[in-house]
Amino acid sequence: MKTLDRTLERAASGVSEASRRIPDRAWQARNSRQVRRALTPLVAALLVFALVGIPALLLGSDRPDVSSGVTAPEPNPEGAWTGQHDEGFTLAGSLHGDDGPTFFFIGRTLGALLDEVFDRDFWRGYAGSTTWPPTDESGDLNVYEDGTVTVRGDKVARLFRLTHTDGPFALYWTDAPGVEILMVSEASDIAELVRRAEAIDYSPDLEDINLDH
Amino acid sequence: MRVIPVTSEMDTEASVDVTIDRVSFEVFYSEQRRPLMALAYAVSGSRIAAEDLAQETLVAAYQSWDRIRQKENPGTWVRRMLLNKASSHYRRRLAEARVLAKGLVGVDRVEFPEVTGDIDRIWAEVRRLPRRQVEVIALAYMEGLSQVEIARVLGISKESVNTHTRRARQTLATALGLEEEV
Repeated sequence: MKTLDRTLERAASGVSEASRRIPDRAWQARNSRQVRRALTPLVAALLVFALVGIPALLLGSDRPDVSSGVTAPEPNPEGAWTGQHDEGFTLAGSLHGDDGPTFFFIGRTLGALLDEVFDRDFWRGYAGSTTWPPTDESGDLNVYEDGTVTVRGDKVARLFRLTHTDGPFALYWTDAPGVEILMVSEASDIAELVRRAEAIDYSPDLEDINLDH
Repeated sequence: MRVIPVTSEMDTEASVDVTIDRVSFEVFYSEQRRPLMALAYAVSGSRIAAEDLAQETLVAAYQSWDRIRQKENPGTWVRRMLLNKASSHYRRRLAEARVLAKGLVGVDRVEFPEVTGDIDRIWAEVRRLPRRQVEVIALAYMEGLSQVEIARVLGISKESVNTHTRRARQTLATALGLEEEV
């Protein structure tokens, strides 16, 4: 037992020491008030999207509703699609048929979003892209089943690690500080989001939406 | 089982008995983030997952801070949530691994710093155990919790903790080539 104890203690100590060397990217330059302030416009963007995109989703369409202001998406080899709302909302999803998962990345135009919170030069270098926002010929970004988002191109970069939680949407932190993305999954979740939006009279405040699941 | 705190500093930081009635979320965050991340790494084996799990857990805590801060032991609450998330996180990691395997994404940024191969191997053996056993070992050694405290975090009885611990130790002793004392 003592030998095993010592071994496990050593293993725990090693991990504990290592954890001290991991920077707190998400929080180090901000406090909770900043988080709340940064999230509020994103929540608003999410709610607007829900109002725009939900009719198509509930009708079973696998494409954004062009008539509501979303350009026709171009499928890419991974089966993902992106669409650009003319009022500045970027939609991206990966649809895998009736039996597969459906994820939606929702936010303002990627470039606009990142412009607000980041030095665009950082992202240009990070993505290895010479354009802004970083794009490839088939779309701005791909969203995989697990929520992983990639930008394709010469040097494909992983911009976000989206999180699919048990809730209707998730807050996610990128490798770099200051960017939060909201994501919903499943049409039923979007319906629930709309219900909540209505319940809070379209004036979302972080504390009014329960993300705790 | 005798529970041995790893270090005095860690014991302080990882304590789940933090009194926070009048402590702000920022203080709670600063105290809990690192031990939560270490715990998450122990059960997940991935720096990405560890950062994700700790962050998601603390975000959830923030969302419900008014309620959580009233709890007798918020540290217990966040650890239970983290371990629950760790379980559901597994499927996501599999999909992520598929993306990485395509060569789309660099992986050099995701290593847990300075975890030696030997330490990694020990935790890899721990993670081969059934989930509950992984959790009790991680909480006992990473957090230095007693069996009563582990039972509280996991929402199971002390007797169950004892059983999981005993079985885990037997398996680990064999897997690691260590002599198990009776």
